[in-house]
Amino acid sequence: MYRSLLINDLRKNRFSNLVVTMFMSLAVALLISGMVLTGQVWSSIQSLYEVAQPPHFLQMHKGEFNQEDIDAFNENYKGIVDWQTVAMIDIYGDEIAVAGKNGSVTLKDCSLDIGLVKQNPRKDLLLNANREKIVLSKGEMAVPVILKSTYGFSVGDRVTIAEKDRKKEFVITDFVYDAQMNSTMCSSTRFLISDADFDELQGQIGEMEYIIEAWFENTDMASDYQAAYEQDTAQMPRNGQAVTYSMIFLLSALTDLIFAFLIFLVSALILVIAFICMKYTLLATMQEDLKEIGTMKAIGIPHEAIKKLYLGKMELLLGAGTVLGFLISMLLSGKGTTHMTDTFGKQPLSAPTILLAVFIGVCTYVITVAFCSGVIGKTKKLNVVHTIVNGEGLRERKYGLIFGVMFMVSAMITLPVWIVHTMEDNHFVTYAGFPVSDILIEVPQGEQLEERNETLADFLSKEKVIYEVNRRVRLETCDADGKKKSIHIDTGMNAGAGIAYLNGGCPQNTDEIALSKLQADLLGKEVGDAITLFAEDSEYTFRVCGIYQDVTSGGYTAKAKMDFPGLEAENYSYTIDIEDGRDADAVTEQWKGTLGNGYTILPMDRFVSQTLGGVVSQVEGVCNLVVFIAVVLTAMIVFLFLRLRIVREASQIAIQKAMGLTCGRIQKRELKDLLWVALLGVLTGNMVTVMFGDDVASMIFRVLGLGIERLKFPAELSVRTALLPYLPLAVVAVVGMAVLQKIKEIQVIEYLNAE
Amino acid sequence: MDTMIQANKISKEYDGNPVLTDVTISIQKGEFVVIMGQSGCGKSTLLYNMSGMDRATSGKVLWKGKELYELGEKELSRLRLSEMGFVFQRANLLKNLSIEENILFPGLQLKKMGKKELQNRVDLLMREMGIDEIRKQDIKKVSGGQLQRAAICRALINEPEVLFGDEPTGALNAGTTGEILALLDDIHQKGTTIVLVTHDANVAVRADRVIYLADGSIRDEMMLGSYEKREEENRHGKLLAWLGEMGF
Repeated sequence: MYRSLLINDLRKNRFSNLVVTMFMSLAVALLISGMVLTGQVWSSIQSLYEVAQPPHFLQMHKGEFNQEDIDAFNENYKGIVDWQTVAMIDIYGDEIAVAGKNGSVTLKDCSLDIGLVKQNPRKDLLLNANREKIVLSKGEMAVPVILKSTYGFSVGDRVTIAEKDRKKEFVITDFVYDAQMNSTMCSSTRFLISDADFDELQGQIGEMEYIIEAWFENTDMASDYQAAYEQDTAQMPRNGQAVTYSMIFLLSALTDLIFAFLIFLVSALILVIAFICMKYTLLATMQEDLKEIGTMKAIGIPHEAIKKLYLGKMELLLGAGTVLGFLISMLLSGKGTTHMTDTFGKQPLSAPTILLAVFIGVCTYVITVAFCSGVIGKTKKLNVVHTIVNGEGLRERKYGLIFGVMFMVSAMITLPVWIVHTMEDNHFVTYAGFPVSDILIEVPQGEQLEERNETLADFLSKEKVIYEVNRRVRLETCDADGKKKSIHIDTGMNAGAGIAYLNGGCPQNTDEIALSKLQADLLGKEVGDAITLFAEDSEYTFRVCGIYQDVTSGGYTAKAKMDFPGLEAENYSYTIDIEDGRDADAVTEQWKGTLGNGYTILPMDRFVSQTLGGVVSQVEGVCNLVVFIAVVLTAMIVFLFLRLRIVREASQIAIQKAMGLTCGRIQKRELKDLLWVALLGVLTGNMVTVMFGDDVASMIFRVLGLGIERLKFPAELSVRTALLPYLPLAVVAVVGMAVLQKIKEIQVIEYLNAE
Repeated sequence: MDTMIQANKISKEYDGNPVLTDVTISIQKGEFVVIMGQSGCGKSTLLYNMSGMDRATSGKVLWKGKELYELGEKELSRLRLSEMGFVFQRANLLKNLSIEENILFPGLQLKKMGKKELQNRVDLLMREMGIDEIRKQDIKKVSGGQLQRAAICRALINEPEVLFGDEPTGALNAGTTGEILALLDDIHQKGTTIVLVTHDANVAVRADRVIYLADGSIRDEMMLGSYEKREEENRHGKLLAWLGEMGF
């Protein structure tokens, strides 16, 4: 009985049944894809880390040091299991030229510090795509995979390293999957060469930098080790960045996790739309069958049996949709993971991931069936008499579905479009700890730091520019637990001005300090609190005047007016405004030529895009996907809605036709009503999202622990933000016009003579 | 005779508007009772309240001596499914089921009979109602009269003690109405109690007793006695005269 009911229904309502199945499969496919991606990122990193064994703690250092001090310190440190010091030859991007099929490029615009290294013997291994330790012969080079797409590297390309009169050639034979530095958000990247070539070049070109690495019984021990290391009286080598395992992990996973997060968000929205759609389909069907339902109740058919009549079909459709969605997600699993594969190497789908995907599919199915069951359950409350006598029942709002869907679709497009817009906006740099400006020049740590800084200051004083200079120094302070921690402070006359503050503002006096959000959290400080800083023999007491947002240096920075004379600078950064009308790219190129090596010179927008490069392109990818899905969803729903509406209103339309209204006039009126409601839905969705979307975006960034707590959408519109959310309106108009042609097929005589 | 239904002083209001006021009525086992009255007088409401499809605002209804309104929704549904049959103005059959499946449906829900016994009963009813040939048909492809016959089969599938009808011939032409009435007569002859609501004197003439309702109260009732075809003209005259007195 139920089978024949089902078969007949499927035969008669092919389109609406197909739509329900498609919605379900789309929602399940996206939910599972999001989950698979998250699981894959996690297991990829885990399995990459298992082989590569990145350090639990690392300290960058340039200049002289004594390995015996390190050995002595580590030998006495409880819980440490291994340590090593990796030597790296730092060279400048414009000293590397790569010639391949696509011509020749240099890496002069690469914002990452480039280091040549040799393979490590046991730990911190540099691997290939198959997670195997790369072994190179003389003349061979393995380049970082994270630069592969940016510069179009291919195996077989010739790499020339030229510094002054020295020149050395290599052939690219592989790509490095570097567990430690596999994100463009890290500040360095490693090029692998053979031991023989490394020994040949060491001391001949570039500048030596060292990575002092340590492994512990437990990764959690890294931060305690860092504190002990920095407080050690032997003055351990530490003039560069110190990084712990958790930071390495976070930076590695960030880009893909943002992608997965947005996929989840989109799939949740699609699920909501699917729910609205299913509710509408069910209510419409039950409304059509209202007298039959009333009669069934009247003759004593139990509610459960009536429910089963409708739910059985939904169970079948949703089941089919779930299976289809699962299969689609499995087929698509390779597509969304391109970035991940490029970053962490190949990661086959693991059995637990597939099991989890099945679990998510089953959960989605159960929840959706429960939802449908709830909608069908409304029949329980139907009054038999009213239903049979008056035909009163489940009538839903005429255009409720269209308004709801357009609201959701508009919100679905608006949110990622505005996030991309915010990240591309020149004000976004204020979240990176810099004020809005045209060009950023960094003088990185090195033996010639002061000399280079003087040259730069001298150079800029002759240019028609306005600039601010920040000198970074390192001091010590105590964290919330009273343990000593290093604190990197950017000092300067206007340090901290023009950046995005969560609380308070920039330092006005020399005894004030502004802390980045993560730094403030680490130290347990709030605005108004006193903070004691230690520098060699001196001790300073400052007042925290502001807490700002910063994604650079892992998010741990500080700003102060006081320049701490006597302390050695770690680096200098210049934020420069050039004359109006001058092109920042052209000026950058010109300055690079004039200043030569030893400076990182970037137009500010490129600095932001390079720092967050992966994230922005991933979000853009999601954005395009969302627009595509939104257009398809809109087309499907409008089609479904109007088809059902025409069927249900056929007798009314027939009466209007009989009264002399032309088909064209009826179509126009229907289309006008539809477009008004759609416009209202899109406008409301767009406005609500623009108003509250930055809170959602802030939440995403907060969850990711990037150092951005509160994101503000820019005030200015872009072409994309202004137009894309309204794209579904065009779809409504086109599909609406096409479907409303059906009105012409309604035969007056057929309906007027019907019961 | 045993009393099947005893309604005592039942009143019903919708949104504060009285539809029935203090109606007392009893239906005896095997009786064929017709309720008549002007539109809006409350006759359908009386039928629904007597059958437990709706609950009166006050008063009580005894079903074979059992207080109907004290039963829960589930028990009431079960009672309607097993002991009552309903036919409405329109058949309201499920459109995704064939004629035969529509008739089977309440039987399958009650599970009083085994599948084979149930099928035999469906076959018998369909033969008796003359719709045997269309058992596999789509309900959209059969006539209104055939649909109403199928609805009667559906109402009788569980061998109800009382068959309630709310204008069961209201949407049919004269010829088909006659056929349906003959079938109802036949059912009545076999011992089923019938309670019908109608506007049509041609239907009422078949009843043992006709109750006239006006403004939510019983104005009068007329005993016609057992129906005999040969007495139809005489009964008809008496009935029309009485209805005239009632202002119908």
